[in-house]
Amino acid sequence: MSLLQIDQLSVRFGATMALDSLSLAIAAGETLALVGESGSGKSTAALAIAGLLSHQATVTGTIRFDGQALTDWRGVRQGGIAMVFQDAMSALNPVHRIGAQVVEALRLPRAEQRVAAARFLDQVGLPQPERLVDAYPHELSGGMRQRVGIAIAVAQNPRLLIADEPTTALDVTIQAQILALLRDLKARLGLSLLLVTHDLGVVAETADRVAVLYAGCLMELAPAAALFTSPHHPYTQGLLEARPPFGTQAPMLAELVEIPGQLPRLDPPPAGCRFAARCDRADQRCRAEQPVLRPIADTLVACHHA
Amino acid sequence: MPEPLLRLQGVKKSYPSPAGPVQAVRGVDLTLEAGERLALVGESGCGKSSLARLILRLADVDAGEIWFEGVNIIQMSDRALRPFRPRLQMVFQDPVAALNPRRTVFQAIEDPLRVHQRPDRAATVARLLAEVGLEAGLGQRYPHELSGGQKQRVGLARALALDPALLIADEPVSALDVSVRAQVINLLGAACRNRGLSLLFIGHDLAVVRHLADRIAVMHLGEIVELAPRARFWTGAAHPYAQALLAAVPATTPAEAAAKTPFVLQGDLPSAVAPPAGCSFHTRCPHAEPRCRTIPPPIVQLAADHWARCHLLTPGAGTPSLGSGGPAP
Ligand SMILES: Nc1ncnc2c1ncn2[C@@H]1O[C@H](COP(=O)(O)OP(=O)(O)OP(=O)(O)O)[C@@H](O)[C@H]1O
Ligand code: SF4
Ligand code: SF4
Ligand SMILES: [Mg+2]
Repeated sequence: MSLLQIDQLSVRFGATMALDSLSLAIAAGETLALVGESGSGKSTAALAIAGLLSHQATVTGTIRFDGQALTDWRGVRQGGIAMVFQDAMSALNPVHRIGAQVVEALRLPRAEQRVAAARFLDQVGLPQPERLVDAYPHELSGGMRQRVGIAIAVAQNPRLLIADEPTTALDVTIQAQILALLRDLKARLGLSLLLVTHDLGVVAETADRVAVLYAGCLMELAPAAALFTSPHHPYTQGLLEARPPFGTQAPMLAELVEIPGQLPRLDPPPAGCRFAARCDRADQRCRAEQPVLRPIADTLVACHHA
Repeated sequence: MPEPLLRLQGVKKSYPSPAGPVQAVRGVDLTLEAGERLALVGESGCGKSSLARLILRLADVDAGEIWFEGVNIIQMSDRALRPFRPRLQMVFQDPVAALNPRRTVFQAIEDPLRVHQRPDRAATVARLLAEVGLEAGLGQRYPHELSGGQKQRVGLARALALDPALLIADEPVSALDVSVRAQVINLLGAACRNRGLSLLFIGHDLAVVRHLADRIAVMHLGEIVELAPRARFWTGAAHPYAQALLAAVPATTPAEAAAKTPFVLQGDLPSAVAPPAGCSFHTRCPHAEPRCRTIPPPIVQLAADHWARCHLLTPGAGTPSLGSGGPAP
């Protein structure tokens, strides 16, 4: 059985359709990458799962965690699910010491807090954890703050860790450290990881399976290896082809392959396939009828012509 | 030898901060030829943007010289500098902040032409809109009615309006959605090719840098630690820091990720207020030796057009393998 099961999850903010009928599952111990650009709905999905949606959101559909339906979309942290954010600084309280923030959710007796906090800081690879418990967020570098953010999540003893663009604000050298830490924690603690990102490199480094979102819709859901070698959806193909080649053997191109056009507005979203305005395979049917997910090999694809 | 388009010599700049002066640029020598595309790479805070601001004279150097088109622009008054301003233009990371919300696209592109009293402005704006791939009708729109990619196109049209010789682009695609990045990268490349423009490209995405740049300068804590042409850099970066940056680039496929030797640089970027003595990279370098902690490494010329600052390198020896402590070559 899946640890997390999402069925027909839709989220609206007023006239904006942020997420349209998302269905997917995450198995125990699995890393699922949720890939998308701005407005694709990836953070909305992550926040819905974590129970952190704002009050403006209108939600339909179901999310089951460990067989139990989650019913509160906002304000309530779901037990067993913890979240790491892109901007560690804004996720931390600037006037509270690091140690207190790490164990805040645990409601430990005062005497035990320091030791517990230091243990979690140590688990995320921070040096001199006994001294760090007394530090304030501004005294740390961006990479260290992100480790503290991960320590706070780990302290909640989650079975599912949601990381929303956890390395986007960091340098590549620090990104490599944080990705290594997430992989390590996942293996050590047997976590499932939902990694939200726009970066296909991060996906290649971490994911077992990949869900590609575009303009609120799940376009392709595939094992990571399959997605990179034989993408089926025109949007996924476009994203992979538009990357500048990299590596000692990679070709030098005169021009990059472009995806023409721009992201559609979602208030309201276009009829038919959300990608139709940018797709070179689009026809009448694409513009009129929204494609539904169907299986191709071990992949699910939402496209009339894949 | 003819004077290059741009030549920096011993350029230094520090900024006051509560913790003491931040040494943002610590003695940079660099040249850029006409039509050349040079990339400046390095971690955040290493001084890339500061260097760009100094070249544009948006800030004044503490020491050193900046020669542009054969003239040292450092001591020039704003008035004397005026004829040079159009020749040096900039594209910013954040296209929103770079545009005035109350000016239409047409006005935004026309403004620099008006300031410098250029004739035939309407025709020039129309030509620029076409060059950056925007429909003429878009001229009447305001910035908030544009997508991120469109705003960056307007920013580029504005920068090209005065027919510059040098374009400085500071992370011009980092804030854009992935599906529109290739469009803007292609536009930049085409503008350089078609206009014979020189480009100083500041970027942290090494794949983009590899695609765009003829030469690569690696900056660490306010210093250039390696300078190499593309033909040598991507296969034979010599400085341990350059190698670490290359090793940190995520794999392009899961198969590549599984095959590569993991290498993670330990520790954080040191403070620019108190850069480490000796080699500024020694606190993180997997090959550091005792002398690295005290003696600043010399510039080692590895080939006529390739140098790096590191004690372990030998002149003319090409790119060494730095042994098992470092990333896979
Ligand atoms: N106007 C300023 N006042 C004070 N400090 C400054 C100023 N501009 C830059 N600095 C400092 O100088 C150092 C170099 O900054 P700079 O912005 O040039 O780095 P960068 O390489 O462009 O970084 P990034 O990749 O984050 O854009 C940093 O420590 C920065 O905080
Ligand atoms: S459904 Fe049509 S428009 Fe949409 S991706 Fe497939 S071919 Fe393109
Ligand atoms: S000089 Fe020493 S510390 Fe600096 S890069 Fe070379 S080996 Fe590393
Ligand atoms: Mg900068």
